[in-house]
Amino acid sequence: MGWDSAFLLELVLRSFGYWYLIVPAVVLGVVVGAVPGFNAQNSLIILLPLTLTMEVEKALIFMVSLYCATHLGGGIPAILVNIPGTGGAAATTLDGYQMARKGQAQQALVLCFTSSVFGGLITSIATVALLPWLAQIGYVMRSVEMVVVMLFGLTLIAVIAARDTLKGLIAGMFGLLIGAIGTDHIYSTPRATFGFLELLDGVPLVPALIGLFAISEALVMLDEESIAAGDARERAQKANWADTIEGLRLSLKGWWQIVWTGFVGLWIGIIPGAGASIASFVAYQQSRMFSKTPELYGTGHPAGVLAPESANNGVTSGTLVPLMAIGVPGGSTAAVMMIVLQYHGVVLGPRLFIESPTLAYGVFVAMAVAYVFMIFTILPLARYMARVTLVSTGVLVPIIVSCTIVGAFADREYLFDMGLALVFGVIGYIARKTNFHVTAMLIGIIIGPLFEQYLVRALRLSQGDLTVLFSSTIGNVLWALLALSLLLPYWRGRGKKVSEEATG
Amino acid sequence: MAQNRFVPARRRLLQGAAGLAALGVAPAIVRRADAAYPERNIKVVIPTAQGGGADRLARAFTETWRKLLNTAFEFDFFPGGAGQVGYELFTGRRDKDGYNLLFGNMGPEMLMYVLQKPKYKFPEDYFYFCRIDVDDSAVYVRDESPFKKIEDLVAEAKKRTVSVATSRLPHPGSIGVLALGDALGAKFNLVPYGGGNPTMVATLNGEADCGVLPVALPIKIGGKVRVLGVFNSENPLAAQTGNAPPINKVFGTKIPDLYSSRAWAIHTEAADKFPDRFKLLNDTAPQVFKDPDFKTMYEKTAGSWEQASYGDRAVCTRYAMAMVELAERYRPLLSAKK
Amino acid sequence: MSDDRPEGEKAALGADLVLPALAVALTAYFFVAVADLAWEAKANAVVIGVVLLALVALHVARVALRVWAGEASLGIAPLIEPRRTQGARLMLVALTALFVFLIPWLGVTLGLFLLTGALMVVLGAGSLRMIATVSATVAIVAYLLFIALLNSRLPRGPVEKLLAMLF
Repeated sequence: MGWDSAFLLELVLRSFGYWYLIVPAVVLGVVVGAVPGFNAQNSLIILLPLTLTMEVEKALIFMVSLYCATHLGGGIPAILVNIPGTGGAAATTLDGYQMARKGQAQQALVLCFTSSVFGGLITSIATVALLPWLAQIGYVMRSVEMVVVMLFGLTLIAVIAARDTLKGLIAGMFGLLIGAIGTDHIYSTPRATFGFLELLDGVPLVPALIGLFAISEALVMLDEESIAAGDARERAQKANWADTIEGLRLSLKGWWQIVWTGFVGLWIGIIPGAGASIASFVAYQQSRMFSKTPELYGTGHPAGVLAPESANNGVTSGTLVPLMAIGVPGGSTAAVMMIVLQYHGVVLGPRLFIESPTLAYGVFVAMAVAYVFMIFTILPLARYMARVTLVSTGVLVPIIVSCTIVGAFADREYLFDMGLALVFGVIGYIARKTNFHVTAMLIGIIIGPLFEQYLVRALRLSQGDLTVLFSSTIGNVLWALLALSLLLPYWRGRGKKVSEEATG
Repeated sequence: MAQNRFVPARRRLLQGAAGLAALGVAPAIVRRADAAYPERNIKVVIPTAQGGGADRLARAFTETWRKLLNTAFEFDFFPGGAGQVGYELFTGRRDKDGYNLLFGNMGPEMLMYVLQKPKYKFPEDYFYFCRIDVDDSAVYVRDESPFKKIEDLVAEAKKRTVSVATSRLPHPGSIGVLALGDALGAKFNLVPYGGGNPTMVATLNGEADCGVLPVALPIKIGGKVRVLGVFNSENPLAAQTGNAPPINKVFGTKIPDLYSSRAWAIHTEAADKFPDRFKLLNDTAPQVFKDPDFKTMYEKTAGSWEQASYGDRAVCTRYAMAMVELAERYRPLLSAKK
Repeated sequence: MSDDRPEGEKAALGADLVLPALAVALTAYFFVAVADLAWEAKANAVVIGVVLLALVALHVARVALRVWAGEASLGIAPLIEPRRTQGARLMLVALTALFVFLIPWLGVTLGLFLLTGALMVVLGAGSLRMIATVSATVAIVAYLLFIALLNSRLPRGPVEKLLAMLF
């Protein structure tokens, strides 16, 4: 169907009419996203009895609003206490927390909110307009292409390792090896599980995330009185509305950053099996690669918050594309939504857009509307949330440990996972104190299993022939882009040096 | 296997009120055997993820079953290791008292049992006593594929290696493909995608030449895929699969019937120690199939009603042992251990 | 952090070897575990493991050179400094481990109340009243969310059983 403004307007008004569903879903989503261990998928499963009894359109709007809001919520603890609420916010810690340490928590939160909202808003609108074309992405991204996409994510290890390459790479490779624990992807044979049944499906992400970020952070946090210490504390105490406005100004300055990283997220979201963590890592890496000031990343650079947050919200509309367009969920959250849609007898696939366009296009419009609601509910709160950085660590640390250790349990409901989180907490503490980057480890743990899965599958398809990796046009274009993005900063660095020598 | 199918007679269901009234009386009669049981909730171990196919089917089934037993069911999900985690936990840590049941997918889980050699033993530790459905393994291609019939596919596989997407190697469908290749001297390369949905994507985007999945999924996807054949002696869903033939009929092969089959299981010790309790469960379970509510729920959550098919303990055990035999035969191809 | 040392003091690089040692141990275990598997099942781990071992070898050589040159020692100071919080840190790990170990008997509500309270006492966080309020809040929220609302699999202890009898 073509572009029909009247129909679109009707959909927008219709979505606004569901404010009574969107507002509670957004609030719940932000909270759920901010608490490590909870995410959109497990919350939606818990809420299944509710959504199954709702009308299908209402249920879908409720689920989509909640899902989008979790991606925004995940960034809040990432910035305030260096603990990502969801895997998709892990990259946000890199610069967001550094800003908080400098007493700029409020600005960082505002950056996170605006980039989440506008990244999500732009991509959901784009999805409505470009849906037929976007649906094709799922078809062209096969195992070989996915191997290269995963490599884009993995190169971030090298980027993070910039300060001490050797240590960074060791941390990343250690993460990759931890990620390889569990059954193999062809025969389902357990490997290196230490005899634990709980590790058969690999090292679970949530306890690893909680251990490496939350518990280890709590152990390091003990050394300070509060997160914003010294001068930063004074700055944070004096914080007022001007800081919120400052955050808005920084966001406006980075509008182009928000737009293109949002599309990186959308693109990765459409690919089945990828998801928010990968999208935010790739966006962060790309943002740094094309930045004029790559050396500022990791020190509290606004763009380091904008890029991953815009990307992980771009994922939300992307994930729904394969679900609606071909009837195959792109990720675990979309799979839960599919249960509800099927229960109501909705036939997914191209026919959906012809038979019930109100539902098919309405989802993406509702998503855009949810983002509009989000900015108005959440933005004024940044100022008050930022106060967390002033709370004494004597109170903050016990609360963080208690909440996150239970969060480690919440995802899979195994007591084992609590112990695992503690083990990762100690490993993370050692890593932090000796400058082995925990984020590099986490990237390995997240991307490692996916990388192996796609690689082994591509090789199995080619029956062991390595040249298969260079056998597709799109794959080869991606290889070239990967090489380019690795060489670009190197060349630019050399160019800079030359020009500095010339002028100096 | 087809002769074992208990296809609930539609006529009887349509009699409506009379049938329901009869149902209402039945449990009361059975319950006299052990008046106290069940006096509390029955706990169910599901060895796959929450929100998955087994979850939905178990809920649909117990929605009716709980009325017959006059109790409630609680579900616990232990996904992991192709079901191994759930089974180990059920056999090792749950009380063997008839208040604990397991709801699983017999085919893949019996294959896992043979290939991974877990701590528990079948049927000494547990057995299946109520099969819910039969989901035949089907070979399918995407709509644009040059292979119009199963014969085309096999002819090609005699010339070159044909790639087959499957959800995992230890799965009835994968075994069917291996057996077909064996019987006809065709070369198939099984590529596991770790689940039904990714397998579907891999065939839709042409990464694999064809795919093998329980037939309910290709039916659900509809016009974009074409079912070429099923691994069963007849195809009860011919109308919904473009008259896809039974593969054995096309080639005259003797590949065993291969299908996924969800079923209830109980500890063997519980059935021996509390025969009254087991009798009540065993007698009420088949009655669920007669309830029109279950039919509605089944069609909403699982597949076509033609696939719903009760099988008793003997049927289940026979099927499970057949899987053991198949797994043993194809072990070298299914296992990473060399 | 290992590099933020005062001028003139030797860098304690022993600490820098702890994580690589863990990595080598995992690699060794992994190699044994996948030795007899098909190539698809072990290729990835073998490649990663070999690269990891090579990187660790380089790292060890780098540390050894600096120790040889007298610039660094094999101490583990970065891991245990600052000393004033070292006791609290060890207590945090020990108490959390104890919590994970005892939660099957204590139940989540009582367990969290005790864990939060004990950690606050260890970290010297304000008055007893404040400690009691914060730990009780954490425990009550956990009870309402996980037990009352979600009926999760978190272990039930005396508190949960008592409340179950009351309601």
